Amino acid sequence: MNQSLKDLQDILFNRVRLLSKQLDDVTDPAQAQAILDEMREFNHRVTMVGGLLFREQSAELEAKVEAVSKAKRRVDEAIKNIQELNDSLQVITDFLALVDEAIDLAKLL
Amino acid sequence: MKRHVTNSLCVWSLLAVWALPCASLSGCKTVDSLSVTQFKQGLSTVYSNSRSVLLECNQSAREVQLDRVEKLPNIKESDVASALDAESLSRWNRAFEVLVLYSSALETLAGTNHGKAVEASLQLVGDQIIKLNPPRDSDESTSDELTRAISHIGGLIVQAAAGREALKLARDADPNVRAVLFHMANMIGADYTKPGVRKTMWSNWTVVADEQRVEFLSAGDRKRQVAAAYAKALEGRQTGDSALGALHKALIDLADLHTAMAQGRTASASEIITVLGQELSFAKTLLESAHPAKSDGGEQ
Repeated sequence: MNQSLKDLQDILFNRVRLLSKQLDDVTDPAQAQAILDEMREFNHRVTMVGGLLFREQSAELEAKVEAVSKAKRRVDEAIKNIQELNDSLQVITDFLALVDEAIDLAKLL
Repeated sequence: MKRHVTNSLCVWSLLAVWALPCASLSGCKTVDSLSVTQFKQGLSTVYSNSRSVLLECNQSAREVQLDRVEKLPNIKESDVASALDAESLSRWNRAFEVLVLYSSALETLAGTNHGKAVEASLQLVGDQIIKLNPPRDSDESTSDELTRAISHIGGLIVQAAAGREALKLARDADPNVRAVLFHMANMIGADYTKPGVRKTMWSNWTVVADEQRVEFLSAGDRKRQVAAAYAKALEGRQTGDSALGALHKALIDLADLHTAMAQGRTASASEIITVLGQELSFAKTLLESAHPAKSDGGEQ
C-alpha cells in the first residue's frame, strides 16, 4: 500500500476528528457552520484518498487472485485425470464387449 | 473348476492393479469434503453481504458529498466521484468469484462422484470378463460377489486418491488463499483508525452526526427532534463500523477455515456463516435506515 497516501489520509482524518472535537465548545451557529464546512472539505479529501488507496489495493488484490486461479487450474487438471481413468475403464469394457461379440460370431462359423 | 479358477485369476489380476495404490494410500489424510462445502458456503455468504455493505458505504458517502456540493459555486466530477469506484469493486467481486470457483472445483474433486463412477465402470469391466468366460452355475454367485467387492474397493481407492490429491492441492494453495483473504480484510481495515474503508466511512459518518450538532444550535423548539437525529446518526456510525468490522473478521475466519481444511482437519463454518449472515444483514438494515439522518428532522 502506498505509504504516502496512507499518511496523507491519516493527517486529513485526524483533522476531521479535531474539528469535530472543536464543536464541543461552540455555541455560535455561524462559527459551528464554518467548522462543519471545513470538516466537509477535509472529509471530502479523506474519501478521495481512501478511494485511491482502495483502488491501489484492489490492483494488488488482482495480482494475488491470479495465484488462486492457478490453483483452481491444478484442481481442474486433477479432476480431468480421474475422469480419464474412468474413461479408460470404459474403453476396456467396450473392448471386452467387442471380444465377446467376436467369440459369439466365431461360434457360429 | 478350471473355469472358476480362470475367472478368479482374471478378477484377482484386476484387483492387483488396484492393490498397489491401495497400499500406498493406507493411512493417508484426505480433505474433509464437508469442510470444503462449508468453506464454499462461507465464501458465498461473505461475498453477497460484502457487496451490499460496500454499496451501502458508497451510498452513505454520496449523501455527504451532496451536502458539501450544495455550497459550492460550481461542480466537478471529483466532487461526486464514488468513494469506492466501480473498477475496484469489480476487482473485489472478481476475487470472490475466483475463490468460489476454486472451492467448487475442490468440492468436486473431494466429492464422492469419482469413486462411484469408477466403481460402476469396474463393475462393467468385471461383468464383461465373466461374460467372456462364464463360470459354472455353482460358481456364478462367487464371481459376481468378487466383481462387486473389487469394484467397490476400486471406487474407494479412487475416492481416497481424489481426497488425498484435494488435500495436497488445498495445502499448496493455502498461502495464496490466505494472502487474498487477508489482503481483502486489510482493505476493510482492522478498525476505523487503521487504513481502509472503515476509516473513510467513520470520517463520513462523523460529518453526518455533526451536521445535527450544528442544526441543534438553531433548532429552537425542535431541539429534542434534532437530538434524536444526532443520536441516530451516531448509532448509524457505530452500526456501519460494526458491519465493516464483521466483514473484516469474516474474511480472516474464512482464511483460517481454509487452513484447517488444507491440514485435513474438520472445521465447521456453520457458526461463522450463521453469525456473519445475521450480523451483516442486521447492519445493512440499520445502515439503510440510518442513512445520513435525513429522517426525524435532520433536514427540515
